[in-house]
Amino acid sequence: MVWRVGVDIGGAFTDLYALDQKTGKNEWIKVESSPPNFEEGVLHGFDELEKHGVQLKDANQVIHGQTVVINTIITRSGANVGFITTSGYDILDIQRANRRDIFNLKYKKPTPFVSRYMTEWIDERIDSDESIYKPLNEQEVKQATESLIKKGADSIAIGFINSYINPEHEIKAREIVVKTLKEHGIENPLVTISSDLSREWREYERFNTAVLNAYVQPIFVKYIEKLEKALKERGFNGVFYLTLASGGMATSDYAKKYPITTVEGGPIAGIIGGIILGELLDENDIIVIDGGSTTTKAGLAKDLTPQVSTEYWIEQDDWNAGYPTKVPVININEIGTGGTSIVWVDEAGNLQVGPEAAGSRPGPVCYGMGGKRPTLTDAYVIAGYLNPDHLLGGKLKIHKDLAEDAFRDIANKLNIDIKDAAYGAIRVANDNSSNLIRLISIRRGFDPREFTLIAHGGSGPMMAPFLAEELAIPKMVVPSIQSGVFNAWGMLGLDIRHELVQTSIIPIKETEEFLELINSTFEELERKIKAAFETENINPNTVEMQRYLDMKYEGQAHTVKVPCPDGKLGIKEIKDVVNLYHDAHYKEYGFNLPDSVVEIVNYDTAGLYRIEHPKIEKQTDQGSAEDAFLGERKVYNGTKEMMVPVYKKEKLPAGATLKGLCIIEGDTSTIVVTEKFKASHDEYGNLIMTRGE
Amino acid sequence: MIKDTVSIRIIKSSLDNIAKEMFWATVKTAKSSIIYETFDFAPALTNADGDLISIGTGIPVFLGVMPIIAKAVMEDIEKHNLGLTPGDIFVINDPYRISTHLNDVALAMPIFYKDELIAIGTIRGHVNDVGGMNPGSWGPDATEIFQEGLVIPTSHFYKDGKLNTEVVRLILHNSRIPDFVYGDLEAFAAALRYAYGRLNELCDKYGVELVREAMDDRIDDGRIMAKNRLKELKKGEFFAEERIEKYEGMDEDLRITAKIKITDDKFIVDFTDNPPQVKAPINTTYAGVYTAVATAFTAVTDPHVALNQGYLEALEVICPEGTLFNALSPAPVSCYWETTFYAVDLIWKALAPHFPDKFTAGHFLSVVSETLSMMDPRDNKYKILCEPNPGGWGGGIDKDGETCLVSVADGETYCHPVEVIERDYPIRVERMSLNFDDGIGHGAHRGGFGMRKDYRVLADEANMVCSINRIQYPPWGVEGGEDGSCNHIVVIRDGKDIWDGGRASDFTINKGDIVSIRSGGGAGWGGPSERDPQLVLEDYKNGLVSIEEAKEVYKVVIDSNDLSVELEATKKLRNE
Repeated sequence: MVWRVGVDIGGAFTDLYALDQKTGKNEWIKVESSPPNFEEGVLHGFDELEKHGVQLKDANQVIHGQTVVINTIITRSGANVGFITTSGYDILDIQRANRRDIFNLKYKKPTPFVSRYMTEWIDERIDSDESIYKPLNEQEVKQATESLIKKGADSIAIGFINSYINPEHEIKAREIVVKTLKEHGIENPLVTISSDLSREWREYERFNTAVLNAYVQPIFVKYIEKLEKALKERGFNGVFYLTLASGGMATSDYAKKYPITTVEGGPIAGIIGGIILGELLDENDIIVIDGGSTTTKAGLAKDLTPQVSTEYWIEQDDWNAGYPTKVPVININEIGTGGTSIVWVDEAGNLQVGPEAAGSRPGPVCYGMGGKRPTLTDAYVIAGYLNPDHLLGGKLKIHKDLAEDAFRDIANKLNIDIKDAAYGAIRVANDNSSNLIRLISIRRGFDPREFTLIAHGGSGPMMAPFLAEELAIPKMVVPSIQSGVFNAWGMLGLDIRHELVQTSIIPIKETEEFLELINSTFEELERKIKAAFETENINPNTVEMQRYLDMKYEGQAHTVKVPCPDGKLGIKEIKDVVNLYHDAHYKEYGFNLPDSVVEIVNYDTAGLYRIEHPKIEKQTDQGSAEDAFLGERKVYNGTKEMMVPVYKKEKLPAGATLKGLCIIEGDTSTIVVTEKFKASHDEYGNLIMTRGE
Repeated sequence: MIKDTVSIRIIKSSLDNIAKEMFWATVKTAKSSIIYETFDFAPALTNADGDLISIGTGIPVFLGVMPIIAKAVMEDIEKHNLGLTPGDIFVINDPYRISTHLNDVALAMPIFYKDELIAIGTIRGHVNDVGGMNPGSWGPDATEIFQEGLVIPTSHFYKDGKLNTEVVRLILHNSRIPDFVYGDLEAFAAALRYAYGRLNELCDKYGVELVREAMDDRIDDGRIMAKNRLKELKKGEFFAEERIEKYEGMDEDLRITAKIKITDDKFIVDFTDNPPQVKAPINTTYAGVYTAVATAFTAVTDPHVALNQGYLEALEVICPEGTLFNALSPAPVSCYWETTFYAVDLIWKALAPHFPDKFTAGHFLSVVSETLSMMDPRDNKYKILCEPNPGGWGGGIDKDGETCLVSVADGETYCHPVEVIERDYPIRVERMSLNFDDGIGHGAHRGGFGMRKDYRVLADEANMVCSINRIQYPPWGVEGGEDGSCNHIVVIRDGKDIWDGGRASDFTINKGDIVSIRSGGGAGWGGPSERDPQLVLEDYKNGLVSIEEAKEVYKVVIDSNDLSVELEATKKLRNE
């Protein structure tokens, strides 16, 4: 046995999924999370896994997606950060100065994570042409460090103007800071420089990223070290990886240096899970939807490549500016509509679903656990889509009468029947989710009709056919992997990944000088990426490089990402890339400007070391659809009530095809096959739904 | 038949989303930083009558004007026999028809379903130059609109789906930066076509009748919400007055006033007692003052409401023609925003003490905008930098004022990063810090700090234009809070201040000069000696007040050695 184990910490539960790569044998476990001492929950999970025969001494990889980073930021429980910056600039206080809540005349800007008291200003300045305008005052750096030590700094961030184009001063300053800290008896100095995390222009965004990294670093390092020690004590001898927000993973040594790159490392594993599944099923263009209890998340991958960008803002919403985090993050959008979202009528008489939710306590009214306000789950029970007697394979008793009582008030306000009110809530929720998918597809220039929808999570499979109808998506997959541990499973499909983005704005020209510049820039980035792999004991020659260029028309600010060929680039390759850009711009925005000067803004390079992706055991065919038939029940489809056949998911054999309208009940989720679709189990136990004839 | 409330509800949410989607599509494609960083533009959807259904906006200034554009364009099409076929897009910037100034060029696209007009998509934004006497098309010296640039009456921008090259060439030939103007206008047109497509999809799916019903219903929702909000509001009559510093050729500063009356179903603002229009570019047209009232009304009632015509029906604006707030041709209007937002500030000042949960003390108010134009020696291209700058906001009953936040005239407006300015313009930003030179209004809750930004100009013979207010009359304090500080710009040559002011037209900046922009600090709320001594200590630690200020202004004695408040000494001082 050689196990690979994925560990995913969520808000309520910590999931572990162990897979033996050779035999395909798997075990999974779900335990309660234990904030703020998250490692306790994880170790408890390993204890449970051991009971299922998974010994840590037999594991060669543990891949961990954690919430320590985001939790530290959200609860403001991080380090006392000292910040060293260029003299003359109050960038963290000024920020971008925007008033996101434009009609609120008592608006509050985000409070910086470092006060001016903990900030030290240094005489130095790099010019916008990379040259040194003012040399670094090294003595000042030393004094600044000593001052910050005195003020109790646990961790230090350095951000200098124009370091994106020339990081020389930041690197030199770090040397001095580290040396000074060591002189003061600090053995493992924690120092972050902004140019290590981002080489993109816009100083506030870059400085804030460095500050957040420094803010979470001491707690993160302590957490990882505790966990590593405990794993070792249990005989673990393999490699410990952390999931990255970019959709890759990196060794714990790397993550300890740059913990901010692991922010949102949990939810992105769901997208990766979708990608592995897509690979297995030969579906290259996928949209993955994760329907949770309080929210729904969605992401997209074209050619099995997720959309990664460095435009992530922590705590940003419609009314708050949030904090920019310029590290690569898979684009995931989220809305406040989930299975336990509250259904209500606003003052103008509009039916609304969410963002308030009942959560797991008290839960939907129909659970009979004290919930009084109607939820989306109650609506599904009333309409007959969800089993009106019990859920979770019989473990949870359902009270349909309570759900109906709770919907009475809504029905009265809208002057319609209770079942119409319930069906209305389902339509509104599905409309919210359709808009979510529009956001990640149409808004970014992708046509959802060309994608396959992979739906997981408690409520994902239920809504999938409704969304597919609305957006004309031809095919859906409900994975055979239990919906609750899909993310942990997805972690086993992560490749080791390092990505660097360098801003260096230059108009495209067909000259030798230009070719020289573009080639040397990519070579330099690739050299750095290979060096990162070397520190992880990976032979850099086995690393696959992917290149992209972020390009724009002269004068524009926002860029379009275009793939760029490998190796040495000549005039022909450049011409191809420019044509790709014109096409991509047209595709995304409906026009292009072929006569305008095109500029390169960012060189984006990712190195990938591919890990063998998990397989799913094939299932043997047994029985017929008849064996899975449970009976019929009354379902309301918005216009009439009808008797609809219900099948047991776990008993449905491969190959058997069910025509809509029917309902398939599984232990952890219910699937509605609407009239326009038919459904069948594939050989891996995934439920595939396609348009019916 | 029973009303299909759920379908209508879903269509309404799509209508709201269309305006937002138009907004983001434009941000991504516009060529000028004033659109993509500053968000000085707004898209909107109106019904076929030009009544506002939904708006996507990053700044308040366009709130009231979007429906006016739709109505004006439809009237002009009829009146001047312009002809209208599906796919047509119209362009207009005539300020007396659609308000604001010539830089704000609007496009309107009548949206058809099959052959039937169902809605109008509009979008309007600031283009950086439409000709006129100064680069950037605005400046304090104009005495009539003809000096401010090209006035475009309603004309076809696209006709039958094709670019109307005659009009487009006319516009571009009158601009100093035609490529940018064209790029921005195409970005606007793309957003309109997107709305056209989305609305047609909705009609295909739900039927045109239901879509129309949803539009009417949206407006009804607004009426209900406005009524409910007004019901909760304290009723009464309120008054405020202020002064705007005089311009060249004027005898005295302008006294401006507003009377506000809040009733059970109306929010009435009376601007009758105000000066006649002036021969300076700070006149605002009716829609500008209407926007100002709408902004203040939204702030005091519900900043998060989905705005539409129904909600705004509760407003009543009284303002005689030919006055500063309702100017007629040929009054110059290029710097209208300063006055428009003085109108907001008057209402704000009148209401603040009565609605402390909605308003702070006075803020720096001006957009503190300068235009710097120059030939970039690095690529021999002519460039115009035009930007708003952040400043200090007032303290509130329960909070200190915000430091370096854009003014009420701006909103989701991002100030330019140092690194972007330096890369795009021949400028070195040698300083971008809090403005300690001019200070703040102290108070129990103090004002926030303004910004000081020093531009070292690295081009020969650059040109500066600026027109800012609050250069003598600082932000107003509330309940004993001190007034804030004033805005100004200083030009430094060879280490000496050679100019200090707020209005300049055609000012030549030499290579190596520093243009130092200094926005004012916000006013305080409550007396400084009521401030929590621990907050004064924090301010001291953060370098925001000195030991002397702490003692003299706040009556707090700080021990600078162990960074603590000397409680006994403070108590004694405060009891004196």
